[in-house]
Amino acid sequence: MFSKSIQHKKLRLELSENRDRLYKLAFAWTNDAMLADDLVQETLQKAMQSLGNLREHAKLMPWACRILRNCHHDWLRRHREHGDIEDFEIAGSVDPEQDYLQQDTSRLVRDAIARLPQKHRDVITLVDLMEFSYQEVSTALDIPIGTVMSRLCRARAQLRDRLKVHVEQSSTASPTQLRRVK
Amino acid sequence: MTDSTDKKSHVSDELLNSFIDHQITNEERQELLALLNRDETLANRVCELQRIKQLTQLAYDDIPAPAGNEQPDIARKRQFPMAASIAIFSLGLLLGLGMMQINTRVDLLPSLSAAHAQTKVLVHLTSADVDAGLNTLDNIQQMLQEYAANQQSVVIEVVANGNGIKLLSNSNRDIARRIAALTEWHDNVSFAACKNTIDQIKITNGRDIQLIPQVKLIDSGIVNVIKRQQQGWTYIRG
Repeated sequence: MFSKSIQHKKLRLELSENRDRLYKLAFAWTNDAMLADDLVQETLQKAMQSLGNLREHAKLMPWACRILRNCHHDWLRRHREHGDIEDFEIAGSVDPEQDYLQQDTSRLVRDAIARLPQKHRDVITLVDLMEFSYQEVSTALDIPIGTVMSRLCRARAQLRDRLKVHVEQSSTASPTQLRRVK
Repeated sequence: MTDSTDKKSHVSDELLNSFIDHQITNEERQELLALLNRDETLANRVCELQRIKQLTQLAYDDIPAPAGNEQPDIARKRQFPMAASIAIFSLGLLLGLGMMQINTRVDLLPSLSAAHAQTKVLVHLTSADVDAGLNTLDNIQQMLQEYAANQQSVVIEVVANGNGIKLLSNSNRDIARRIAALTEWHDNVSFAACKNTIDQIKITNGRDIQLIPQVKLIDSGIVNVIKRQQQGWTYIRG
């Protein structure tokens, strides 16, 4: 019992230390700072209350991301009346054309990611922002690894197509630093 | 890239994604490397996927800070001030992208009994994970000490690009102190940062990266990694 308490303390600490990563992920899923913060708060509370349900401590972060995803889906269900949650796109915070003119690469990329279907956005953000292995993504989303790979493939292909114009423009502006190879 | 399979090389996008995400076996990596060496189109596809990955990593470094309604026991981890990177892959540099990933644990580091007169090790930093970075520095220090104790020669070059650049910025005092100590005591270890990455961070986020003083600047981190591998250096992903 005593060692279990120590282990739970370590897990709580690990969760706390990963709060910023979870927030970044939540922001990528929502494009809304306040909502992202609320979801992370809710996730951490739920995770800390149910640490006893976590069988493999090594899977803490995929498990936490799964809780975050469930919290997000719950929020979507409460605020959206129709449609498949996994296909939802979220509103970009800015006008892509305006961003393009402003050369604001970060916002442009975020906007392109925001317009991905949720199921694709989930996978690419877990791989690239959380730096999860495909197995960890599979655990977090409760989908087969093959599905992880195909969704990631689709997500990156869509991003490539949506960011193509910007990349070409950047190539003209700064050929030594950002250029299309193809 | 809606086609999942390339007609010429018959390599699926799924496999190429697995390659850039370090999700394939060493054998698969070597096979793919051989293909990349002779298939320019395939190399370009890898380039595009890598760029998309790094754009994604970069895009969320300057998002609005959370409102701050956390509970007292849910501490916020210190945020890095810098952006992730976009490494620029020229056509040529892609030819050697396949690289063997070796566990960074000391027990898997190059054997001290190796017959080579001098062991050459390249440590590649691609992640901003501070704990992993400190662990890598621990391993480097232990390796330097073990080689010295056995009177064997080793040279270690640490190269950072992509997210790994964050570890070599002077924003992290723990890392900076460790690197300063390592380079002060050992002439056979060096640290280098990719200029392409730093330039891209400047373009994208408007931020200047201040490197730790002991870190030298090289034009392209990934080109250096490939070059070293071609020269027979042992590759370790930090």
